[in-house]
Amino acid sequence: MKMKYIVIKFLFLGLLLLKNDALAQVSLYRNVLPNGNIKKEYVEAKNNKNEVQLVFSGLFLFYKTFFSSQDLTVCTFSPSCSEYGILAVKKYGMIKGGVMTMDRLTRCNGLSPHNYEFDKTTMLLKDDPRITPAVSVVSNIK
Amino acid sequence: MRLLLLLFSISFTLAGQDIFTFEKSRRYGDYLLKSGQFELASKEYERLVYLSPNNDTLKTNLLKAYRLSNQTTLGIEKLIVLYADKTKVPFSPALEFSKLQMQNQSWQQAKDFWNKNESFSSDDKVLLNVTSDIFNNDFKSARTTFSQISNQENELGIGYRSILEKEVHKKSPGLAALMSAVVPGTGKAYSNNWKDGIVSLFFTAGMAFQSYRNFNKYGTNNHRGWIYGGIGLGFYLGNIYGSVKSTKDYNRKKINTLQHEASALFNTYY
Repeated sequence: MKMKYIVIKFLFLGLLLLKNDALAQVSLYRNVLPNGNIKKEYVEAKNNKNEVQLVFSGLFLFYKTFFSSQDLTVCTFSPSCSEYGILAVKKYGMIKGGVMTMDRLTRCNGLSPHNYEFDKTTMLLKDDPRITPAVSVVSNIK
Repeated sequence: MRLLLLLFSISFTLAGQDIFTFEKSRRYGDYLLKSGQFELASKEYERLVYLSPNNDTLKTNLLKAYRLSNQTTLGIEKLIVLYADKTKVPFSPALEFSKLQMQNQSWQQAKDFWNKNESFSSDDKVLLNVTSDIFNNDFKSARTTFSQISNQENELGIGYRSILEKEVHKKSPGLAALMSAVVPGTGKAYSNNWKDGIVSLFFTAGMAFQSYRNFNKYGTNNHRGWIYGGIGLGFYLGNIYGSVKSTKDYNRKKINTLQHEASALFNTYY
């Protein structure tokens, strides 16, 4: 009976040691690994003007917090597909914005990088719903 | 020591030169313009034009320096100072001024200027009008203007004719939408984005198949089929929108290429 208590005590002590070891490991890699506790702020979900925007911003934040946070940056574009979705809904409304997002999801395959501009800061392809492309005026005169 | 001093002063008086003479300044201005120091060149030519107010070559070079150093508004304002009557500006400064106006993208002022100018021939006016219309993406107006050209063998005219003919072969966004509505993805393939087209087809077909399978298995009263069907409909509509967008992108890129071609032709001709 006494032996059992001693074993349990040692096991608890072992647990403490284990915790210390883990902390040591963390401090060892502190500057290498990014701190996972930093809360990211999503500006896309702010400044909602009506209820539809509020609902979609909520959905966006839910997705970002519980799904996207567990994933790597796998989207080919900048802004990412979810950000594109909320930005499109905010600019063009629920129906057109939704359709645009569905189109974007099918385009997010990385097979046609030549169709987009390259963003050097994020190393991703540029595709922003807020920018409407226009025929650039050429007046290149030597 | 005295002899040395004497030699020193004599050599300076003999070999010394006035670098601010008109001829030296002109050569320096030419050098600045050729070596790409356009802002400095514009200042040098301002001085030269002040020294010799009736020299058209200097005035042309001054306007050129203003255009190449991107001081377009300054250059445009300068013309009124250089020539009292805009309609009587000689050919080379008038052409330089037209280029300045086009670079500044003030199309209507540019057209007004060369249409009233007496130094340009009627064909020159037509060609300049067509150039500005192509640069300004107004191909309809370019076509009507181009039909007025009298010399059919004109080098630039032949180039512009081929550009205007190529512009006709654009792709129709409406047809792309129709194609995508019939078979998803074909609209994107039509605008040369066949990879995106295949992906769209897989997405839509996959969702449609899932929806069909779930309706078959669980019936219409179950949510499964409806969810898949809803997502599939979203992809289907998104694909129609995407086809239109991709066709418009294709046309835009094509027009941009044609504009660059026109720019190259214009630069070699004038």
